[in-house]
Formats: sequence, structure tokens, C-alpha cells
Amino acid sequence: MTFINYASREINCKIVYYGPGLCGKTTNLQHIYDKSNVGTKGKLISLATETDRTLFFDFLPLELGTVRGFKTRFHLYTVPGQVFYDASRKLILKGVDGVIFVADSQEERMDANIEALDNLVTNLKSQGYDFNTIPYVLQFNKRDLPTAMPVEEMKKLLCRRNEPIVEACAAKGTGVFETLRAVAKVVLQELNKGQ
Amino acid sequence: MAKINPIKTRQEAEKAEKAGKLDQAIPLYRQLLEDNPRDWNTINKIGDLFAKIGKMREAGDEYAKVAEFYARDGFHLKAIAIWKKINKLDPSVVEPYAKLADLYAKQGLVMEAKGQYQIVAEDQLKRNRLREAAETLRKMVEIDSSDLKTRSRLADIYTKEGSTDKAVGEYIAISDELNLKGHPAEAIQVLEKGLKIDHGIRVKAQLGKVHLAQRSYDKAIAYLEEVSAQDTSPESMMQLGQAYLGAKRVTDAQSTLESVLEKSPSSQEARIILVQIYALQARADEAYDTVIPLVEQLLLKRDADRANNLLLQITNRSPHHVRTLQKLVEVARIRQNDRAIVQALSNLLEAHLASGSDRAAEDTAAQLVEVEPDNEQFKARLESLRKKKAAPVLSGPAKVAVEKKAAADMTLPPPVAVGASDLEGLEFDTGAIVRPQGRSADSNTDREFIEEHLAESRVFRKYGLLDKAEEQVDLVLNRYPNIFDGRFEKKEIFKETERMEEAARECLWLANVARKDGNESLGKMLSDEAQVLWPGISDAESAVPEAPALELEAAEPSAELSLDAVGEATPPAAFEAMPEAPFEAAPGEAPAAAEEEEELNLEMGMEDEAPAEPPAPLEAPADLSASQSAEADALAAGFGDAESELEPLPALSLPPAEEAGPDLDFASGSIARPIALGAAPSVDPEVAKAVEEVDSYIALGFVDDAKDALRDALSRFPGNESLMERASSLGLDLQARPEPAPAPAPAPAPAPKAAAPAPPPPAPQPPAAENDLLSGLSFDDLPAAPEPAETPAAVNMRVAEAAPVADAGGIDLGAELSALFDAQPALEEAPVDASRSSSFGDQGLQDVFNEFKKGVDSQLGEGDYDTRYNLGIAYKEMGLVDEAIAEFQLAAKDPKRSLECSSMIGICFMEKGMADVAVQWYERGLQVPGRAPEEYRGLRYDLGIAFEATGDLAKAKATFADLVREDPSFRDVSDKLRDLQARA
Repeated sequence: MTFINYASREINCKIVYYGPGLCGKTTNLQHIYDKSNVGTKGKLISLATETDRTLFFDFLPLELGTVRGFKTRFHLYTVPGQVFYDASRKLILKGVDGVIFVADSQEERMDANIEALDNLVTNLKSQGYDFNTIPYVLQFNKRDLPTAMPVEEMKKLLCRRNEPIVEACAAKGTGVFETLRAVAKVVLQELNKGQ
Repeated sequence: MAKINPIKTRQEAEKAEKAGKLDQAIPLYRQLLEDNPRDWNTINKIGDLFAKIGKMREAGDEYAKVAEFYARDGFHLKAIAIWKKINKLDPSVVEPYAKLADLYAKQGLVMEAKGQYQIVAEDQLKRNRLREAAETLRKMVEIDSSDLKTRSRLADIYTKEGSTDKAVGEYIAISDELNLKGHPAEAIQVLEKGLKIDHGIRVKAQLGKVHLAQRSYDKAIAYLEEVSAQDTSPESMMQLGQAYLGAKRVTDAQSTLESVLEKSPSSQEARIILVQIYALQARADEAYDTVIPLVEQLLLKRDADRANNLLLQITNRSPHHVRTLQKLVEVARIRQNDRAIVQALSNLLEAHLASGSDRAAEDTAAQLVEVEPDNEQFKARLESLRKKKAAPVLSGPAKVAVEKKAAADMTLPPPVAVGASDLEGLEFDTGAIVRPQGRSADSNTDREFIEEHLAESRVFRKYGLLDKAEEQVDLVLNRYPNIFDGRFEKKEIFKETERMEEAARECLWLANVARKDGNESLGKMLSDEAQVLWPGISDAESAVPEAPALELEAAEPSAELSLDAVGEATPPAAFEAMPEAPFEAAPGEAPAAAEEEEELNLEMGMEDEAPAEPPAPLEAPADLSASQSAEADALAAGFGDAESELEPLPALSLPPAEEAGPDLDFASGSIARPIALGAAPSVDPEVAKAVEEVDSYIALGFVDDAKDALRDALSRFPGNESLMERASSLGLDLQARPEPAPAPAPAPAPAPKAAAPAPPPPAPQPPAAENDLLSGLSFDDLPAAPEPAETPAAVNMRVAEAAPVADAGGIDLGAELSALFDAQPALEEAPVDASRSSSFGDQGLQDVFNEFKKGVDSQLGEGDYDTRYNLGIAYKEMGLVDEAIAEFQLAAKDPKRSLECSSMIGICFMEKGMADVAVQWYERGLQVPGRAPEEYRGLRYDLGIAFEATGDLAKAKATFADLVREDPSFRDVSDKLRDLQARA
């Protein structure tokens, strides 16, 4: 639920990047961080384990400007991909306003994608959210890899609700901002409805 | 050069690689780099290929490029991973160790960094590269200044190199550390070695400082006088002055401090001590002239409370000093404290009457009427003075008697000396403020103040920010020295900072209070805990608990007590008990019986939160520790016959000799008694943790949480005595719960009392090698302490919990010192108690969070307010409310964020169900000047909600009514107001 503070005149929206391990969630954030203007971004908090995996979560605050006199911020989070960090993933989903599912296009990662997606649905439910109504975008990442599965096949496996789909190559920045814009649009629409 | 087709080239490279033609694949991958030189994955790949074909040096070069990139961009963990990879290629190469060490250091991984530096330093020493080795050791010292062994090696190398100055610097640093940790004798030993290579004043100055800290005043003076012959800087003269004062050479102290002040008028420390000296000698004018620049400075900083305390020192001895009293009135007005204004004006009136200044007295009485227009006594007094002006003048004693009687009729009753028996008259429960009966006007404010600061202390403590935690709890204890919850929290801080003896003393105090309150089981638990913390602590220590009554009265504003009396028909019993006293003793003045007793609080004014005013006299110094008493004796002798009660001098604030840790006697090799670490009990740490958690909840008044934690703990440790006692004291109905699970395989831990080991006997210690500093410090030479018997739970303890345990045979000094001095990094890694957090459900998640937090702290620093604020929001959204509060409190240091942070902390406390604390934060936010009206409106709305939540519907209604008047369309204020009106 979007957090609006009337005293500090702030709206904080929470976007979570979800997906299997090594699908490119952190890379999405790093690209956004690299390409955002200095005045609009906060510090990227990204801690990795010694095996180069996300520790707890990555976090990037972005300022979007002013909406009806309220300073509006998007807080971007990633969850740790590994299954054994499920408790962390649940915690990070608390208060979520929008979800981006980053799917790894490599054929061999399709099972991991499906497992992570099922896990997302379950964890959202456990936090009181309905996967079918929450602002949600599906990103097919790593489209540049030779082993990438055709988009149509991926859709069959991963599309659950007629969600917006963005093809991406996060390492090169392709599709990263498109994905963010897509989810932001829906989140702000929801915010307007709420107001 | 023609541009390549990267896709095609990559395909070719991968094809060659798959075919095992690595020599061909490498140049193809290199071509890709021409297109994108920052393609770190490809560089890494080239490194891999070189490694596969056995070209380790080339592989290392490629990996190093990637590692440097990561390190440059702040991805230290990634860089570490790569350097580890390089290290594996050829472990004999030193560079990766050095790189890893630097990266670990940047990450705050002290032990890991030191391990790598150690390897590098050994290699450099083997090659006789002393300068480089010194540089490496210096880096080790930089990240762990308490590593005395490394410091000693460094000093040794500097000496060999001929860098005497640097070597002396190390000796001084070592002595500082030892002194800080309560080992002044060892500090002196080290300095005496330093003196052998450098006869200059640096070492002597340090020796003087350490002797001063050890209260060896004569020795300190000997060194410091030698120093002052060459160095007349204010710092060294200040120390000399303090040494004179300690040696009862008051005249020397005074002249030395006067010279300090002459050279350095900004020296607050010298000024404060001089004021104390003048005040005690009743040289009020000099005291006033000395203190006034400081008072003005404090007023500029809006610290009127401290200014007030400084001035009160003068009136304690010279109650009729008009200039001081006038200033006190001014300060009271700045503080906007009506009671203090009345008190100060009353005292001033008394002073004017005593000096026969009728006109000034009349003017002062008029001011009193202005402050309290409904006070009949004040009005009558003013009228009497006005009439007197017109009437014939009385003369002689009759006049004085009339004036004094009149003044006494209207002024506030004096403070009353209170004995230990007055504890009987105190209201007490374990969650309440200990205060004299009848004083309740500010009880809500008091409680909010206490709850807020204790909650903050707890949050800081949870994050290992123990200094900050202590600041918070001290704020409470300075104002309410005998608040049970505060002392309980202080005890916890003592424990976590390994100050076990002090923790044990607190336990005894708490136990005594609990018993006086009729809570025998709580008293027993606390007594048991004291024994566990400091085995064999003397029963005589239990005399300490009698002190609170004295301290309480000393700190309680007598103005408040007596103000009640002014406004009420029945004065307090204590006032009635000595009806004649007011005629002789002005408010704030010591009663005759205690007239000679003075409080020389040299830290007062600049260091402490303002104690209540005016300070009441203490009947007997029963609360002072032996050291304080000794110091009191020493100083009192310097001020004639007066029996002074003294606070420790600022520079003499180290623990007294008997409290300063073990009596480590290097010469004899004997150890007089155990130190705290050595005395750690073999209690099941899981039980201790559970008990601590429950106690924390009890201390904070979170009874429900305490009960939940107890149920949980009892399910894990059924029948545990400590837990059962707490269950009983909380009235926990265990029968109403499902049967607890069967006990786990390991037997439940014994109760703390049973587990407390007897103090270990003295241990033999090898003689120190005179010419070897290291052996002099016995880091290595002593035999290691045998492993303590470990329960299965103990095996799983973390480093911080596994404090070294002394064996029955003695103490390994090396281990003791290492543990003592290595404690900090270990403490930083101490796990946060998961169950105390708001949302961590399992230990695994807690561990992940702890690691994350540590990483964040090492990368951010506290000064990154923006990120702290954002993290606060992140944690809050995750439901980690305590963690969020901690972040917002850090961010609140940025004045630009004061309002936002106050608002967010208020919201967090609302989430925690602590609406009364939230009110305070919202009100604090509203104090922030210069913000937009909408922002204040938003805060006031939240404040209204908080008032409503506290049940203060009148204030809630008033708040919403104001908002409706301003803007009825603002949020749902109109509905809110209607709802409240309907409920009213």
C-alpha cells in the first residue's frame, strides 16, 4: 500500500523486482542507478555475498518529482533469488505497490522461473495481496543470449493475467526503463484511484 | 581499424572455446574488448581461459582488472571474491593478500583484514623490509587500535628503524589503551620502557596523566611539574592543576588553573573547576565573574539548564549573592519554567531582605505577584512591603526577624535532608518512577520522557550502539537517578559493555528496591544475577541500595515539593517536621545540620544533563563508593573543615583502583582477583538470553511481550527456575496454555545462582622479561586458559557471547587482554536478539539482516542522512519498526530533516502502540521552525490521532477543532471532530 505522509508531504511507492536467482534483478537496478540523474536518485544499497549473490535486498530510492504537492518517491527493491532466502522475500514484499517479475530467458532456467513465479503468488497471498490485482509487469530478460527461449513460448509458460511484457537485456540496459515505466504507470493509476 | 561484428566474434570465440581451442578463443574475446573495454564478464572469461591453459600470471592480470573495477566502484565483496580467485592461482604471490586485506578493512571485516595483513607483514619482515612491514602493521593498528600486540611489534620495528618518535607514539597509544581499559599499572610499565628510548616530555606527560588517573597525585605532580617547566600549554597545566587538587594543594591548584584560564579563556574545564573552588571558599564575586562567560555561552546555545546548574553552585555556599540570584531569575525566565522563576525570585527576595534593600525586595515581590497573580501569600507580602515603606522603620533585630518571618511565610520550604528510612515513603513499582509521595503534577510528562529515552536506549543497544544507548539512559538517570526501569537498562548496558562489576552493583540496588517493594522473588532473581555477574560480590555491597533515597532527594527539585506546599493547605510532612527551619534557611539553602556539606560536582554544568534544582543537601555520603569517599576526603581536606561530598573529577573519572579490573601484578606474577571476563559464569547462554529478553520487556513495561517471551522460553526450557520465577512475578497463568513441549535432549541449564563459579584463585604467572615489551605484557608467554566445559548450546555461541572464561586455576593474561581488547569487533558482530525485533520470525532471517546491516553501516556511515532516511522508510515498510526508528533517529541529526524524522518516528511509535511517545515526537516536529503550513497541518492531524489513541479526547478534540477552523476540507478533520464531539 502506498505510504502517504501528509506531514512530510511525501508519497513513497514500493516496487519489488522478483525472480529466480541470477535472472538479472540487481542488474536492472544497477542500470537504473547508472542512468538516472544525480538529483533524482539516492544511494544504491546493494550488498553481495562472497558468491556474488544479493544479500537480503538491493534498494534504490528514486525521486519522481511532485504529484499534487507531494514529493513522490519510488523505492525499488530486489529480493534475493535463492529459494532459501524465502523469509527475506516475504518480508520485502510487505507494503509492496508494484511487482516486476524478471524472468531469465534461457531455456534451462525456465523451471526456476516458474518456481519463482509460483513463489511470488504464494508470498503475495501470505502478505494479503492478490496477485491478479496488484500492479505487475513481466520482464523477459537476457533476450540477447543464444539460448533464449522464443517469447511466445515464454508467454505460454509465464503469463498469468494479461500483464504487460517487456523484452530486455538488462546487462546492456535494453528494456530496463521500459519495464520500470510500465509498472510505474499502473502504480500511479492505482494511487490516483485511491486518492 | 574496421569495426568488428561483436555477435559474430563472440560466436566464433565460443565455438573455439567449445572446441578446446583456447589459444584461438582468447584473441577473439580480446577483439570483443576493443568494442567494449568495460565488458568485465569477457575480461573475466579471458582470465578463466588463461588459467585453463596454465598461464597463471596472465590469468591473474585479467582478473586483477576486474577486481580493480569492482573495488573502484565500491563493490568490495565482488572485488574480494575476484582477489580470492587470483590468490588461488598462486598462493605464494603476496599482492592478493595485501589487496584482500585492504578490501576487508574497507568492509569493516577487521579480523579477516588483520589475517591478511599478518601474512603480508611476515613476508616483508622475512625479506627485512622493515619500513614496508611497519606500514603494514600500521594499517593493522589503524583498523584495530586496541590490538596491543601489533602495536608493540610496530613500536619494536620503529625502534629498530631508529624512528624513536614514532615508537614513542606507539608506546603512548598502548598506554592510553591500557589505561582506558582499567590497567593503569601496565600502562605505566609500558611508558617506563618508552622512557628508556626517549627522555623527552612526551612520555613524562603521559606518565603524569596515567598517575593522575590512578590517583597517584604525588607521582603525577612530579612528572607534570617537570613537563610544565618546558610545556606551559593549557592542556598540561590543566592536568597539573587537577593533580594539585587531588593532592589537596588547593592554592597551587587555584593558581595553576588561573594561569590556564589566563592563557586559554575558552577552557571550560578550568573555568568550571575554578568556579567550584571559589564557590566552596564562599568567594561568590570571583565565582560569579568566572562563571558568567560560560553561562552566557550556554544561554546562547539555549542550554539554560546547565547554565542554571553552574549558578546554583555559587548560591549553595552563598545563598544571598544577589548578582547570582538575579542571573538565576533571568535563566529561569529563559527556561520558561514558572516554578524555577518563583524559586529564584523567592531566593532573591530573601537576599534583598537580608541586605536591607527594601526597594529591591518590593520590586522582587511585585515580580512574584506578576508570575503568580492568584497567590495570596505573595500579594500579602507585596502589600506588607509597600506598607512598610510608608510606616516607621523598625530597627535592629526586630526588623530582621519580621523580614525573615515574612519571607519564610511566602517562600518555598527548604529542602529536607532525607535518610535511608525515607525509602518507606516512596511510591514504587517496577514500572514506575521512584519519587516522593505527593509529587505527581508532571507524572505523565515524566513517564513519557522516561519511556521515550529508554525505548531509544533499547533500540541503540539492540544495534550495538552502546555509547548512544548509554547517553539515552543517562538522560533519564540524570533527571531521575532512581527510576527502576532506567537503572535496569543501565545494568543491561553495563553487561553488554562487559562492566560486570558495575552491572552487579546495579543488580544489588535493583534487588534491594524490589524487596522493599515487597517483590521478594524479583529481588532474589536480581541478587542471583549479581552473583552470576560478579561472583562473590560482597553482601556489604547491598548497602548501596540505601543510597537512592539520598540521591533522589538530591536530585529532586525541592521547588516542586515546596511549591505544592505553597499552593496547598497542608504542607509536606517534612516541612512540618521542622517548622523553625524556614526562618533561618532560605529556599535552596542547606539546613543548619547540613550546612557544611557541599557538593563539588566538577562535571556538573558541562557534562551532565541538568539535575533538578536547587540541589538539596545530602545527609550522609552513604551512597558514595569507597573511591568517591576517599576522594571526597582528600578534597575536603583542602577546603578547611567542611566535609565535602564530591563527584569524581573529570580527569579522574577512571574506575578506582579496586574497580579498575584485575590487580595484575607483573612483577610478582600474581593476580589478586578475577576480572569481569574471567568471571563469566557457565550459564546456558540460551537460557540467559531468554531471561534477558523477558527482563528487557519487563523493564520497558511490555508485559504482554514479556509473557509471550516467557511462554516461548518455558516451552524450550520447561521448569527452568529463573523463568518460572519471572512467570510467577508476572502472574503468568501457565496452566491456561498447552502443555509445553518435552525438554530437549540437553539438560536444562542450571539456575544462574547454582551456575555461578567461585572466584578463581590466584594463578601463577611467569616473570616478565625485562628487555622484551611483549613478554612484559605477557601476551604470549602465559599458558592458555583451558577450554571451559561447554554445554551443547555453548558450542554454538557466537564469538561475542563466548567471552573468555577463566579456568579454576587462573587467568591467561594474554587471552584476557586479547579478549578485552578484541572485544569491540566481536561485539559489533553480536547477534541482535531476534525475538526482540518487531518482525524477525526466524534466526536465519535475523542473521541475514544483521549481516546486511553491518554491510550498510560500513558503507554508509552515520552521516549519510538521505540514505538513512530512505532506509528508515524501507524498514518501516517491511514492518521492522524498531530498526526504522533507529535509522530515522540517525537521519534526524540533519536539521533539514527534523520535521520528517519526527513525523516518521511518531508514526513508528504509533505502530508500536506507544501513542504517548508518538505525541512527544509529533510535538517535537511542530517545534521545527520555518516549514510550510501544510506540513504543520499534517503533523497536527497525526498529533490529534495520537491524542485520541492515548485517550486524551479533550486534546484530540481541540487539535481537530483547530484544524477544522483552518481548513475544514483537510483530510477528514471535520468527520473526526464530529466523531469526537459525539463521543464527548
